[in-house]
Amino acid sequence: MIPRRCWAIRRDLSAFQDGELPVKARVAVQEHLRECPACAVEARELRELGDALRAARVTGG
Amino acid sequence: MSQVRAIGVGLFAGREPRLKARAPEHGALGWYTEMSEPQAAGEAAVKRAPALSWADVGSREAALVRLCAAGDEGACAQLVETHQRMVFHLAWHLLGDQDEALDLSQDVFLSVFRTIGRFRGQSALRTWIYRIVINQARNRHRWWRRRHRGDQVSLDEHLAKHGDFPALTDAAAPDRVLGRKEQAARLWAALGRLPFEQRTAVVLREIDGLSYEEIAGSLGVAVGTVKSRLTRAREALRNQLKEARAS
Repeated sequence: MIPRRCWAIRRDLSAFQDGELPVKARVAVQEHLRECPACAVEARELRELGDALRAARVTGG
Repeated sequence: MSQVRAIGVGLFAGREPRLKARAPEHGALGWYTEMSEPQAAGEAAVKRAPALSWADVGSREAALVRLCAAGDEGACAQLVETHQRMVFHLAWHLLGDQDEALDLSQDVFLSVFRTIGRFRGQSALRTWIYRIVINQARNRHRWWRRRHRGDQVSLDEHLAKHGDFPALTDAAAPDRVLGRKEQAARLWAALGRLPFEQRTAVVLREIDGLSYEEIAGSLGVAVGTVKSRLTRAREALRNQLKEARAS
């Protein structure tokens, strides 16, 4: 069962990774990630997905 | 004939222009009058990204647009040279097929030159062109899905069609390179299974590096819609990759 607070943070993780959250929300996510290992893993996996997508881009033509 | 010659540069060199010049009374842009209009985004937008005015568009870009609208051959060639790689790669990432992407790129520039006289700097030129690419890719994607539903692409087929993954080939041990190539192929397959609008948002963000506002402008939707599409798309991609690893 994922705590309600974690649900709220995870909803914002994608925009957090993209640097698109307002300052207040960004700070809230940062603080939560420092204390919640499960959400920190979610954040890391999102970053890795982005890295993998950029690595898989086509550059030919 | 300026635009037809203009799209014969760079990536399109050697390809047969597909539109024939029409009677002179149609003017310099006469070939394009049979092309379809760029369409509005499929999903209803509650709030559009803020419109810009000509004052927001760089003066050099504005001058280039005016020259293109007047049929200036050099300006048209310059516009193609500047944007063709962006158009081609975006089309390739959206369609997953190099030949289709090249074909679509030509259609995009024909559409650009046909409609550029109506461009009023309501967005950056690049964003406006993105929008045309996306609308045309969306139409082709629908067509392709109807005919190839359920097709699976293997890694070998993928690599044969798309070539190597340049970003994955250097400075890594061969087994790691292979693992990353397999992951890249899985990612492409997973991207292909996403709804077109989600796939587009992911490509524009992760590969083209557009901001949410630029993506919203390119898709004609609200910034909040971009945010939710990206969240859903990334969740779907992660789930698909987990399932692929588990199987």
